[in-house]
Amino acid sequence: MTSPTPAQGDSQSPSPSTLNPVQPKVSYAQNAEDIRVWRAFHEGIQESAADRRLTYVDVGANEPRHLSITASLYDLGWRGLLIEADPQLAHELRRFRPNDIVVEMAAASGPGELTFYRVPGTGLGTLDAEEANAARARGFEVLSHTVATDSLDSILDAQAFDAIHFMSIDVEGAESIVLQGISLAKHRPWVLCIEAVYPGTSEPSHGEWEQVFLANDYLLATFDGINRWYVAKEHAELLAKVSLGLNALDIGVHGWVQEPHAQLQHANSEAYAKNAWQRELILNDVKNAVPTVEYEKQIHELRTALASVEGSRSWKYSRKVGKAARIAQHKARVAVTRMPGPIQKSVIRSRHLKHVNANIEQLIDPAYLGKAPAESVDWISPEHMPALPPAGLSLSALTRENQNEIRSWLADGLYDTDALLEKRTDNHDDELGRVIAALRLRLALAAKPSVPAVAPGAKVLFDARSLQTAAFGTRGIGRFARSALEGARATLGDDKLVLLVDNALEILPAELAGSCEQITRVTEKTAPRYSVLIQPSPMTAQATPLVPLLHTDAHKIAIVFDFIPMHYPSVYLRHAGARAEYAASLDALSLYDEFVCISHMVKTELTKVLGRTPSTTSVAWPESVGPTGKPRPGTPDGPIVIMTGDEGRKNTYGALAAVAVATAGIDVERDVLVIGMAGQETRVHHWSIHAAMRPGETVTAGRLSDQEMIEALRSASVVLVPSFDEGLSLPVIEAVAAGANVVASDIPAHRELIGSGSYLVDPKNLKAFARTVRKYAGTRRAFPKQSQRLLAHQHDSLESTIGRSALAHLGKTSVGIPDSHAYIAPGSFSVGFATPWSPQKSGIADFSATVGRELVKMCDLTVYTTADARVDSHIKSDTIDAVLASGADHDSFVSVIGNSHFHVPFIEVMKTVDSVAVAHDTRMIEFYAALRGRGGVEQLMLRGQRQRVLAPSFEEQLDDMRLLQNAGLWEIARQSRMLIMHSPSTAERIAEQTGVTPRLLPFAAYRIPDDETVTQRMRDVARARLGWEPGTKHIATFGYVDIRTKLVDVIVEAGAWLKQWGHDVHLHLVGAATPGVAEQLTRQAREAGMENFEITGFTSDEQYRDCILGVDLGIQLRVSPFLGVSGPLADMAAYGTPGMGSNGLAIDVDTPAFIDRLPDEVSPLMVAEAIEYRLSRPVSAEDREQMRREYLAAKSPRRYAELMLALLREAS
Amino acid sequence: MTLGIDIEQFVTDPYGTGIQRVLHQLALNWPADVPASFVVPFQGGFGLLTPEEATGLLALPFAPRDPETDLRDRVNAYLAETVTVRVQLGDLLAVHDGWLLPEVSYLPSVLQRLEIFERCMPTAMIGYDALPMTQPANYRFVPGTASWVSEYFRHLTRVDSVICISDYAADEITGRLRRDLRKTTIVAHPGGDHIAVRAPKVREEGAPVRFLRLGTLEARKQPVEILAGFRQAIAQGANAELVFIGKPSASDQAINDTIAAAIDEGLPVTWITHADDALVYDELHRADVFLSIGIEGYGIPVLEAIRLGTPVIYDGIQPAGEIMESRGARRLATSTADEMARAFALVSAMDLAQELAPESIPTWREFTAAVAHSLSR
Repeated sequence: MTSPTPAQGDSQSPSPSTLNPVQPKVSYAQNAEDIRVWRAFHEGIQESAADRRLTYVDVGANEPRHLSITASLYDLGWRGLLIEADPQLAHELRRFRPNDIVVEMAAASGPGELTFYRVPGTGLGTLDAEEANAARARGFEVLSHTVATDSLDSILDAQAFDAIHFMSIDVEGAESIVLQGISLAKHRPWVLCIEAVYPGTSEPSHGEWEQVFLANDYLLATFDGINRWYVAKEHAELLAKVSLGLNALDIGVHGWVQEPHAQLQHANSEAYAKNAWQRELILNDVKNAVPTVEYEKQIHELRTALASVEGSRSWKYSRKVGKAARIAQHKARVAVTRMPGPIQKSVIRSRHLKHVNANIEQLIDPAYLGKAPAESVDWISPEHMPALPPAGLSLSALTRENQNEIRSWLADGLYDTDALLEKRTDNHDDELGRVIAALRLRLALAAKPSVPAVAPGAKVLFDARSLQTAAFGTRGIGRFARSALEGARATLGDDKLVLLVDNALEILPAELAGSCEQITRVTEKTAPRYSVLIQPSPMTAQATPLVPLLHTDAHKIAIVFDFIPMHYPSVYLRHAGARAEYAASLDALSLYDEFVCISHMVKTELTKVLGRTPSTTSVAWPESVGPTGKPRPGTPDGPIVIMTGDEGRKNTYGALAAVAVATAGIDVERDVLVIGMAGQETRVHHWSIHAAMRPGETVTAGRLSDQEMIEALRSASVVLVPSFDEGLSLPVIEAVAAGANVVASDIPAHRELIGSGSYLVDPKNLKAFARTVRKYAGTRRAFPKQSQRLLAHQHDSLESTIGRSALAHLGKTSVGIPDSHAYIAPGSFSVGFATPWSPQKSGIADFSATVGRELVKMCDLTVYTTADARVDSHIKSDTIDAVLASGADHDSFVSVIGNSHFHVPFIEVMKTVDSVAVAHDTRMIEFYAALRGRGGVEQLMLRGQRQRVLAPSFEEQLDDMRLLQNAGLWEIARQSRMLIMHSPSTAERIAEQTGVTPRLLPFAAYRIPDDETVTQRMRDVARARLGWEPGTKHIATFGYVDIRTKLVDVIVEAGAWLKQWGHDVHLHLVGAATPGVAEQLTRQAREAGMENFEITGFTSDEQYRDCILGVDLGIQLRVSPFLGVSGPLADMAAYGTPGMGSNGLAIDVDTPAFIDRLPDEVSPLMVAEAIEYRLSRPVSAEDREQMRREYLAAKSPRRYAELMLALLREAS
Repeated sequence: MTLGIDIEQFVTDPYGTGIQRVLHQLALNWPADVPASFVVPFQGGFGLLTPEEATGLLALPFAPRDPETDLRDRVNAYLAETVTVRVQLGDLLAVHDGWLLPEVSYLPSVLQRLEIFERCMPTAMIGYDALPMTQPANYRFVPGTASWVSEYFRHLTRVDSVICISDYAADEITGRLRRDLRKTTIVAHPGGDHIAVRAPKVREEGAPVRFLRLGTLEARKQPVEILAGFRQAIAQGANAELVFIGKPSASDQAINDTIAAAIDEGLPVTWITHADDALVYDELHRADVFLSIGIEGYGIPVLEAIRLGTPVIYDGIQPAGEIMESRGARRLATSTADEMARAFALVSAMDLAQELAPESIPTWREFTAAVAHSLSR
C-alpha cells in the first residue's frame, strides 16, 4: 500500500504545501532535529533545495506535523518516504503530505503481516493483542487492522531513490528490529538520526544497535539527549554541522521561529501527556511497569480502585453465600417446625451446641480446656533480645548456684546500648528491665542474713500500694486490702501506722490514708522503726521497697489470695518478665511469718507452695463480705445474669454459649445481663454473636452501685459464675447473699462456698452446662442448699485478725530517723548526675555533657550513664546500671529525663533512688506509649485526674498535639524530689496536671562556637566543607524530622512557595527521619519541583555545627506552644545564625532579636513570606554578633550549672 | 470543549456550605452551549453526571430532610440511583478537553487528579479566597495536612484560568499568592437570585430592633466583638435584640462560651446552632437588620438578606456588601466596641429598607456563564 510516486513536476513550482499556513522555517521537531538537518544541507548554500533534490526517509513518521522531524523539511522543498503502520496516521500523512510517499506498513526484519490495534481517542496504537484486549475491557472502542511488514531494504528498493540525504528512525523501542532489515552497505543515508533512549526515559538504548552503524563506516556525530546522529564516512564534511546543537544564530540569523514552536510544543505536550497517560493507564492492565513518578500516583489511585472492586466482589460473594445459607436455614426451620415439639427443641439445641463448640477453642485459651501446651518461657518479643537468664526464672527458691548464674548473666549483659534501649520500649513496660529488676530483687531477698536484724520499733508498716488504683479497694479483691487497712487503723490508731505508697500511682484518698505517715521505701536505717509489716497483696506488689524490713525479725503478715498463675503457667507465666516477677514474689512470700488466707483451699495450697507448714495461718474475710443475715430467696423473674470479669479465666464465652444453647428454640428474645465487663461491651457483643445469640439479647452492665447489684441478682432467673479457677469467688458469695440461684463451675473454690451439687458443672462441657442452666433457670431450686453452705463457711473477720495480730507484735521502742542533712559535708556537695551522655545520638546527651563539664568545677560530681558513653576522664563516672543494682549515695541525685528510649534507665532509676528530675521534654506521652502501649499511657494521663476517659481520644490528641490535655508527666513529677524544667510556657500546666510545681531553669546555650568571634569567613568555610553550592540560599531546619510536632511539612511547603516565586533555595532537613516520614517529605518536595532538597540523616556534631554556621536561615516550628524547648534554636542564637521560630519556642529559649518570631499558627505561605522578607533584609552581621555575645553571656552553661546547683542544694 | 467538573469534595462532605451553594447554582444554571459532565467518585471509578443530574445531587443539602438521615447516605443513595456512566481515570482523560475544580478541596485524590489534568488540558478553578493561607489560626488543620492545603492554593496560582468570586479574592490570589498575571484571572460575582424577592416587613411600633448575624462562629467573623458592642448598646438603652445563627466554633471554644454566658446572664441574645435553609430564610426575613462583619471571601447571605427585604450593615472585608453599597447594604465602622454600639444605635434610627434594591443583585446565570466560558477566553 503506497501512495503514488511524488509528482515530479512539483519541483517546478514553489512548494505548494497543503499544510496549514505557517511561517517558513518553523521547527516542529521535539528536539530541533530538523534544524540540524537544515544546517547540514542548507546553511550557506544559495541554491534551492529543489535543485538539489534532497530526500528523506522517515521511519515511524507519526503525525504529519506535530513533533515531526521532516515536516519543516517538507516545507523547505524536501520530499521523501514516510513509513507508518498506524492506518489513521498514515491516512493523515497522505492528506497533509501529498507530495511524499507514504508506506502504510511496519518496517521489520522481513515480509509478513501483523494485526495493528488502534484505540480511537487515545494514544494507544499497538501491535500487542493483550494491550488491545485490556483497552477493550476498559470500554474503549478497539479497531483492528491488518498491516504488512517488510524489511527496510525491500521498501527502499521499491522507491529507487538516487540518494537518501537524511533518514530518521523513531519506532518506540523497535529500532534494532528495523535495523535488522536494512543493509547499510547498500542503502547509505548521508545523515542518520535514530532515537537512542528507551521510551519515556533518558536511559540510553544504543548499546543494542550502535555497532551496526560503526561497522558500516558511519561516524557518530553527536547525542542530543534523545537521538544519536551518524554521518556516512563519505560525507564526513557534514559532521561538524550536524553535531552542532540549536543556537542563537539559528534563531536570530537564520530565522527559525521559536515562539510558535514553543506554543505548539506546549499544546502538543498537553496532548502528548494526555495520550501518554491514557496509554499508561491502559497498559497498566497488562503489565505493572511504572515509568514515571506521576504515574505512581495514578497507580495508587488505580490500586485503590482495584481494592474497592475486589471488596465489592467479595461483598457480592458473601451475599451470595449468605443467600444460600439463608435458604438452607429456612429449609431447616421448615423441617424443624414439622417435628414434634420436644424433638424440635432438642434438634435445635443440638445444632446450636455444634455451632458454639466449634468456636470454643478459638475463644478460650487451651490451658483452661485442659490442653495447655508444654511449659515454656520466652520474651514477649524475642527478636534481638539477649538469651534468657538460665536460672532466674525458676519458681523454686534460688540455690547458691542459681544465684551465681544470675549474677553472671547480669554482669555479662550490656543492656543499655542505644539499640537495646529502643528495643526495651516494647509496649510491655520494658520486659528486659523488669526481668533485670526482678532478678536483682531475687538476689537481694536471697541475701537474708542468718541472724535477722532486730526490729523493735513501735510502728506498723502497711503496704498500701494495692489500694492506689482508681477503685481504691471498693471493688473485687481490693476489698480485702481496704478492710485490712481499716482493721489496722481501728486497732492501732493512725499514729502507729505507716503506709508504704508509690507516689507514681493514684494518691490515696484521705478517708483511707487518714493521718498515717506515708513513705515510699524502707531503708536499712529506717527498718528498725517497724515491728510489724502488713502486706495485703504479696503476689502483685513487688517487694523491692521492703527488702530491708523483710530481712529483720519484724512480724510479717501476708494476706494470700491464690496461686492461680502456677496453675496455668502457659497463660500467666509464659513470658520472662511476668515469670521473673512472680518468682520474686514467691521468694518474698517465704519470708513472711503469718498468713491470712482468703479460703481454706488457698490455705492448703500455701503449705505446698512454701514447702513448709507456716506457724500461723488463718482464713479471714472482710466483715462486709458474705451474708449479713440468713439470705432469703429472690424472685426469679429477671434476666439470666452472668458474673464474670475481663480475663479469659472468667470464661465469659462459655457462659454465653451455655445460655445460648439452653435457650435455643425459644420464641421470645433472650434476656442476658453480663456483670463485671463494664467498658467491654464490644467484646461481649462479639462473644454473644459467636454464641449465635441475636444482637441485643445480651446486655453488658456498666458500673453498678451495691444496691443495683443486689437488685439485679435478686431478680435474676439464674446467676452463672463460669470461672475456670478462683481463690475465692466473691460473685458466688454476692449472688447467694442476694437470694439468687447459682449455677457455677465445678471448682474447689465454689465447692468450698456452696458445697457440691448438680448446680456445679464442668465449664468445659457446654452440653452439661446448658442442661444445668435449663434446669435451674427460673427457679430457686438450689438456693436453700447454697445459702446454708455459705452461712456455714468457717472464717474469721479480716479486720479483727489483722488488728489483733499487729497489736500483739507491736514493739515498744521509738527509733529515731537521722536527719538527712546531717550527711551533707559543708563545702563538698556530692552530686550524682544520671543522664544520657555523648556520643549518644540525642541533643540531651550533648546538653548534659556541656552542663556536666561545668558542674564538675563546682561540686563533687559523679556521672551515671550508659555503658557505651564516653565521659571525660576528669569526671568521675559509673554506669547507670550500677545505680540500679546497688543505689548511690550522694547529697543530691539528678536524673535527666526526656521523651525517648534513651531515657529508659534514667526514668527507672527514680523508682529506687531519691532523685531530682531535670525534665527536658514538656510531654512524656510518646515515651510511655512506646514503653507501655496505648492502654498504659492512657492510664498514666488519667492518673490523678477526675475524668476516667480521655476525650478527645488518645489517637486524636497524638495526631494533633494542640489538643493534648495531659502531658503524661505524673509519674516523673510525683516521684521526683524536685522537678526542674526549662519551659516557662508549660510550667503552669504541668503543675495543674501533677500537683507538683516545676522549678524553672533558663535553657542554656550548650553548643557554643569554639572561637570568641564568629566571622563570615568561618561561615564560608563551613559551607565549603559541606559542599553547599554558592549563590543559592540555604535554609535548614534541625533535629529529628517530625511532621506531627515540628511541622516539617509546612517548612517543605514553604520551600515550594519560594521555589514557585523564583527563589533559588536549597532546603536541608538536618536530622534523622523515619523511612516513612523521609519518603513522604521527599515525595512532597519532588512533586513541588524542589530539586534542592535533602534530609541529611543523623549528622556528626562537626557537621551539625557546620550546618548551623553555614545556613543562610534556620527555622524551627512547633505545632503548639506547649511542646517545649528547641535546642537548635538556642544553637542558632549562640552562633549568630539568622533564623525564625514559633513564638512559644522563642519565648522558652529567650531568643535574641535576629531570630524572628512567627505566630504559633502559621501556614506555609506565611513561612515563605517571612523567609523571603528576612533573606532580603538581613540583620547586619555586626548587630548579630553583638546580640549573640549578649545571649551567650546570659545563657552560658556555667550560669546554668550555678543555678542548677543552687536548686539541688535547696532540694537536699 | 467538553468540560469535566470535579465534585468529589461535595460527595465527601455534603454539608451545604456556602461554597456548595455555588456548586448547586453552577449545575442549575449551566449553559447548554458548553458540554460538561460533573464527575464524582463512584464504585471504585468515576460517575459522570449531566448538569441536570448534578443539580439534583447538589440540591440535597439544601432540601428539607429528616434530621436523623445522614446526608452522606442520601448522597450515596442518589448516586446509586442516578449514575449510569461509570468510567476510569483514563477514560476521564479521553472524554474531556478541559477540567474545572469548582470547590475548595484538600483531598489528595482531588489535587492529584487536578495535577494530572493540568498537564493534559486547560484547567480552571474558582477562586474563593486565600484565608487558610493568610489567617491559618482560623483554620486548624490537623498536622500533616498542611501540604495538601498549601498545594490547593499553589494550584490556584498555576491553573490556566481562575474565576474569582470577588475583587478581594482576585487581589489575594494574584497579590498574596502571586498568581501569574499573564494567566486568565477574572472576577465573577456569585448570585443571590436563588431566593425570591420578599417585600420589606413593617416594624411594629416599640418592638425591639432585631439584629441577625449568620455563619459559623469563627474569630475572623468577630462574633465576640459584635456581642461586646451589643452589650454596650443595650447598657446605653438601645431597644434591640441579637440573633446568632451558626454552628459552634470548632477552633475557639471561648467564643462559644462567651455567647452562652451572655444568654445565661439575660442579655437579649438568641443562638440558633442548627438551622436549615427554610429557618435561615425565615429568620433573615424576620430580622430588621442583617449584620455582616469581619472577613468574608464574598458573603452570599448579604445578597440573600437583601432579597428577603432585610437591610445589611457591614464592615471589614465584605465584597458582597461592597457591591450592594447603598442598594440595601451600608458600611458602618464597627472595629471597636464603641463603634459597634454606635452602629447598633444608629441603625435602629435609620430606615435602610428604603434603599433596598433586590433586583439589582448579581445573578447566578451571569456567574455560571463566566465560569463555563472561562477556559475558552
